[in-house]
This record gives sequence, structure tokens and C-alpha cells, in this order.
Amino acid sequence: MKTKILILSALMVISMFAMAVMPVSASPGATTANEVSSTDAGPTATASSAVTTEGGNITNVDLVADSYTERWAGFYGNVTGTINLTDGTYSLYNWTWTVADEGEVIASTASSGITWASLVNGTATEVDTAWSFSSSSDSATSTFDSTESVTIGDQTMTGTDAADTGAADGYKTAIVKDNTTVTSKDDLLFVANIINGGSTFNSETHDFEMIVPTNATIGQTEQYYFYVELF
Amino acid sequence: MRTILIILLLVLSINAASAEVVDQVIINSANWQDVYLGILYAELSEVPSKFILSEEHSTSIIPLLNNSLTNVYLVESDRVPYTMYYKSKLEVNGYTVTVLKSTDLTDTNLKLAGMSEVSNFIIIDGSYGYNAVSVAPYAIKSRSFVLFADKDNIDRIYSFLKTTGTENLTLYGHLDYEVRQKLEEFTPDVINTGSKFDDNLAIVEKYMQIEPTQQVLLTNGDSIESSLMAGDEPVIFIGKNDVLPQVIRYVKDNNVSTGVLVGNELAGSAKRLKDATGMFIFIKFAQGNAGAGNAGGIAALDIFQIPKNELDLDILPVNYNIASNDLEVIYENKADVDTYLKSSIAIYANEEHVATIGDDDVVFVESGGSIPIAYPVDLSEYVSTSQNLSMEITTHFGEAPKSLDHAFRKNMDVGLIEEVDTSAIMVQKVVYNTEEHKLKVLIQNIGDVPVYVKTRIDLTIYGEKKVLIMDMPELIDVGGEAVAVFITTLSDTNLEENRDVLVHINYGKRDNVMIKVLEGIYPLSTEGKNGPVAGAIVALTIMVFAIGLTKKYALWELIRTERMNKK
Repeated sequence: MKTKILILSALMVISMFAMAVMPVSASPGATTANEVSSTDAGPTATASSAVTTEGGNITNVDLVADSYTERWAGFYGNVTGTINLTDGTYSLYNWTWTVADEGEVIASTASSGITWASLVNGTATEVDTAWSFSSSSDSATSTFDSTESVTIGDQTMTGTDAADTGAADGYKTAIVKDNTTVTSKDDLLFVANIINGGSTFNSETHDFEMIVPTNATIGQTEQYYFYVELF
Repeated sequence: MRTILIILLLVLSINAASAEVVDQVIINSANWQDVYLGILYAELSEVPSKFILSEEHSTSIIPLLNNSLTNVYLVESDRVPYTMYYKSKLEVNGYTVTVLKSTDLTDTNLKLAGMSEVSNFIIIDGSYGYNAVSVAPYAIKSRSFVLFADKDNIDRIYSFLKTTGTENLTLYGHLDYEVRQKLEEFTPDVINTGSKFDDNLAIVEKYMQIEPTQQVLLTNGDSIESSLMAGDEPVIFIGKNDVLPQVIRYVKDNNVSTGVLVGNELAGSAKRLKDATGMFIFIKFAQGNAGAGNAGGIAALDIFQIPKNELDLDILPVNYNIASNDLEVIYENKADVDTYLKSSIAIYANEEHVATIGDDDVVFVESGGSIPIAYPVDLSEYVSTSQNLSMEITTHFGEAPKSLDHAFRKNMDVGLIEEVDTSAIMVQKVVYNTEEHKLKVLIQNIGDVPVYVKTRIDLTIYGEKKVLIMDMPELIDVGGEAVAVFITTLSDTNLEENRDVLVHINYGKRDNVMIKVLEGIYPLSTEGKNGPVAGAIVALTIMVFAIGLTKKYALWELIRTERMNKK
């Protein structure tokens, strides 16, 4: 019998989707006749297939919104966690995490160097400063007008600035930082609590939804890295 | 005309000056060493870098570049770039590109090392990619450049080190003897424990001496990802399927509280580490791009896989030998890598756990070979009552005795056999023939049945262990002898290192199950030009010379006496 060591399911198989929260048009400032999206929610305009699967790209996006929402992008999706070390028949090690165990998905522009043991509350003002968002209806200050408590590791941050992005199930994106003084975008983290079977902006059922600031310059992108805590 | 010439020279000088400015580094190569060296150079130069993973990827990363950093240094493989004409593609997007064409890896290595303007170097063998990953954070933190050295390029490396001026030199991991010998004059720090995990912990310790931290990155060293090369934290190796005790001990002893796992392939080992130490572990698992008017897709991390040898161990059908009260387990190594293993076996009779047995010491299985192990255990009461025997075996294995980072578990039925094996052998001597370059083990069959033997010798070659093993078993008739011959060249230094050698012989009357073991330490004698015959010649020469001197003295005494008598 041939024995092989396989990991059948990678931890945190996460199907993630990106949503456009800004106009598809490359022309900033364009307005439309449809409803203007509010800055504290995802795209409220109707969208057809405004989602991407992992590794894919948005196609056939049909969003409409005003130019103020060029500053934000969102990600949402599902989380499963299974580690199964097996030769196909017998298991060496099995561990299963379920969304009922909760947890967070964390997005950051930092590829490395996040000091996970030194997290504290972040503020919308710090986001505005880091991304050079001027005061407007879609500034971070206007968007993150709620508060949330998040626990990462053994640190609980209560009352940190948060954006309420979802519908009634209360998806929120909270701001956290790993440096008392924010010197760059990399110091800021965007945290979404995982909620089992929640309803996202597009009335679908997913485990998390989050909103992150983007580079508002046409043609430029912001690269984010995603982290999840291993329980 | 003169004006035109002046303008032309001015333009050329400006271009030359621009080309020397590096704002960011891009690597277009399928060779991991190009990627590694390019990133290392960028980190030491404190500029960002990106590496290409495919033709499609080469296009997708262009929008991600910081277009305010216009001077791009492109490290491009001459033979295996991922995409062609990338310089042009970048220039179309407004970048000024200088190309380093990587034709010869040593040239590329030394070029980038020189450009980094450092005087500290870490020497590794490029055959061990995981060593490169292990040292990267320390290299950046200590401002050292990594040089890939072996016996074929050591002269060039040596010349570079002499010319450049070397302040600190570290030799890391296994290196050819010629490399170690040549670099002795630099009085290097040496890290070579024989285990990639222990070596890794040693370099982590050096990192901690520069910048203590309680946060580390977790990997097994088989891939390159930007955070592993950033130098922000040291890298600790966790195993493919398991975490080694020394790693757990290090984490606990040094209060390492947080780990970041890059990719989720090693999540199982990370979970074990977390459970054993209580540390917090975060998994960096994906990346995504977002921009004005464009919510880009989610993608896997940019990870460059380093070529490695895969281990592949299996167990053939297991039998309980009623005659000898042994559980006979045959391990089969299907990989191209020598493998070490250690097993724990739970035995069941009618599904009731009745015994636990296992290996006290690590077992060696050569690449492509197999080894039978007899585990003594008395199951006679279960056999006599016809109970169904089965077992659950958990085997940890790896490339080195202290690196058993792979593991599997199997449940198997246990068959019954009755084989009486009265075979017996003895080792007469172990000798090295200096003229033939052959190491010989003389074995005698002292039993009453023909016997199959498979011989292994453990040597020490310039301080490192080397195992020689016969490919095939040999049959020795009753009362007969056989010589296990290993063709190998041993220098005077090697002979000095191996005055006594470990000989391990698997033997038995069954060629496919040589279940018996003879193991011992034997003196290594020599024969041939520099062996006992030569020694006798030397002794004879000395004797002849001594006799000659004695005669000469006697003659002189005679002459002196005669002179005195005449007087």
C-alpha cells in the first residue's frame, strides 16, 4: 500500500470576493442618474455579478455610484478551517475550526513587519491622514462613524472606529494599528469579525465583509495582504 | 559638429548616471537563486522588489509598481526568463530600466554582492535552498550578502572576498571540504550541526543578538516570499508534518509569543506548535488589489518554490514471526534522498490494544533502498487463541537524524509467519587499500545455513558523517567468506579520522528480509603502497641504515685503535 502524506484541506480555505465600491468608469467625478451610494455602505446601486472568485477579476461590473466612492474597496467571503493530515485512509491529525468559533480576517498593506502583540485602537482620522483623504462625505471620518470591539491574540480593543458595511447582520470593519504613532499606511489594519452565515451588502450569505481604503489615483492600485488568526 | 559631440557626451553621461540609480528591483527568472539574490540586493539597498512567476504574472504586476520609482534594476535570466522583452514592456510604462543579464550564477552573485557594498558575507551551498531562506533575515539585519559556494567556484569566491575585504564571514550548513578549507584564513563563524533545524535555530539566535524579538516567521524553507526576505523577523523552520522538539523548546525558552505563517500549507505543523507553546499564530494567506474604479481580484501570495528533494517512505506488509517472537516491519525508501526514521507501534489483538513497541534509535534507510526491522514482542498468547492481530504505526522521518519533520500514521493488519533463522556471521576485518581506493569488509558465515548480507559503513569525512552502503545483498555459503567492497578515496586525513569505523550488517537466510543485525566498531587497517608492506620496507630501510652506521662506527673504532697502537 502506497502511503502518501496529504493535506486534504488547507487551513482557512477562504473564498473571497472583491466588490467594487467605486465607479467602473475611469473618469473621476462622473455622476450618474442612479442612486448615489452612501459612504457607510457598500455599493447600494444595483450590480450584476459584481463579485470575483479567488484569483479572478471582476467582469461585467454594472455598478453605478458617484465619484466620491473611488476611495473605498471591499472584500467579502467565506471561511473554513480544516487540517487533515492523512494518507487518504487514516488520519494522523485532524483539526476543524468552524465559523461558530469566530475569529477575524485582517487586511493590511503591510506585507511584513506587523507587530501583532502591540495592537491598539486606530482612528478614522489616521486613515484619512495616511491616505490623504480630504474632508468629504466619503472620507474615513465620515465612513467609519461607528465603533466596534475586536479581539486579536490576547488583545481586546474596545470602541475602536468602525464602518458599518453590511445590512442587519452588522458587518463592521474596525480600524486597528500596531504603532502608537501612525507613520505610514502599513501601520493600519482593517479588521472584520467573522460572523457565521451573515448577510452581505448584496444580500448574499457569507462569513465576513470588509471595506478598505484605496489609492484614489486612476490607474494606481493598493495592494492588500490578508491574515487570519489560527485558533 | 563640435556642439553636437558635446551634447552627445552630455546625454550619454546623464544616461550613465541614471542607470546607476536603483529605485526598485524586478527579477525575471525561473531560477530561484536569481530571485533570491535579486531580492537580497534590493533589501540591502532598501528599495522594493518584485519577482515574476509567469508570463501572465509579468503583466499583472506592472500596475502594482510604484510609478514614482522610475529607475528599475531588472535581474533577468539569460536562459530561463519567464517573459521576453520585459525591459521594453517596462519602458513603455515610463520606467528607466537597467538590465543585469544573469548568465552565470556566480557572476550574478558576485556582481550583486559588490553592488551592495557590504563587507560581511554568509557562505552557503546553493544545493540547499532552505539554508538560503534560513539565513536571509540575519543577512539583512547584519548587512551581509549571501554567496553560493561549492568546490567548483570557490576560487572565484575566494578572490572576491580577498579583493572586497571581508569583515565578518559565516559558513552556514553543509559545504564542500574545499570551500571550508579555502576560507579558513578568514576565521569564519561556522554553523553546521548536521540538522537544518538546529542550524536554523543557531542563525535565529544570531539574529536575536542583533535585534531581540518575540515575533517570528514560520516556514519550512522550501519557498521564497517577500516577507521571508524582509528581515523584519527571523525565520523559524517548522516541519512539513510536525514540529521538532528543539523548535518547541526554543520557542518556550526564548518567550517567542507570536508567529506568522506564510501560506497555509504548514498549518498543521503551526497548529501543533501553537498547542505545544501557547503562542499566537497568524496566517498570511492571500493578497488582493484595489484601486480607483477597479476592485481587483483576490489571489494567492506570490510564492517562488525552491526545488527540493521529496521524501517518500512506505511500509511493506507486516508479519509476526512466531518462531522468533518478532514483529517484522520492512520500510521502503522510494525517494532519491537518504532518510532517517523512528517509529512507534501500537499492537492490537481483536482491536484491543495489547502492546506498544518502537525504535529506541533512529533508523537509516538509503535512497531507493529498504530495511527490515525486527521488533521483539511476545504475542504468543494472542496467536495461540487465533486473535486477529493489527497495528497502528506512527513513523517520523526526515533527511537527518535530528530532522524528523515528516510523519505518517498507518493502520495495518499483521500476518503470521514461522521462520527459524539460525544464520550467523562475523566480521574478520575492515581494511582500506590505498592503491585500489577500496574499502573492504571481510565477512565470514559462521552459521549452519547460507546467509544473505547487506553491509553499511559509517565514516567521518572531514568532520562530516558519510554513509556507504551496498546496493544489493550478497550470499555467503556455509563456512564461506565474502568481501563487501566500497570504492572510495580516503586521504591521510580521512584515515586519521577513521581509525575505527562503525560497520552495520543486515543479514538473514531470507534475502528480502535480512532481519538480523550485526553492528560494531572495528579498527580500520590499511594495505597497499602506504600500508603494512610499505611500513615493512621503511622499517627494513631504517634497519639497513642503522646497521650501516654501526659498521661505520666499528670501522672507525678499528682505525682509531690501530692508530693509537702505532703510536
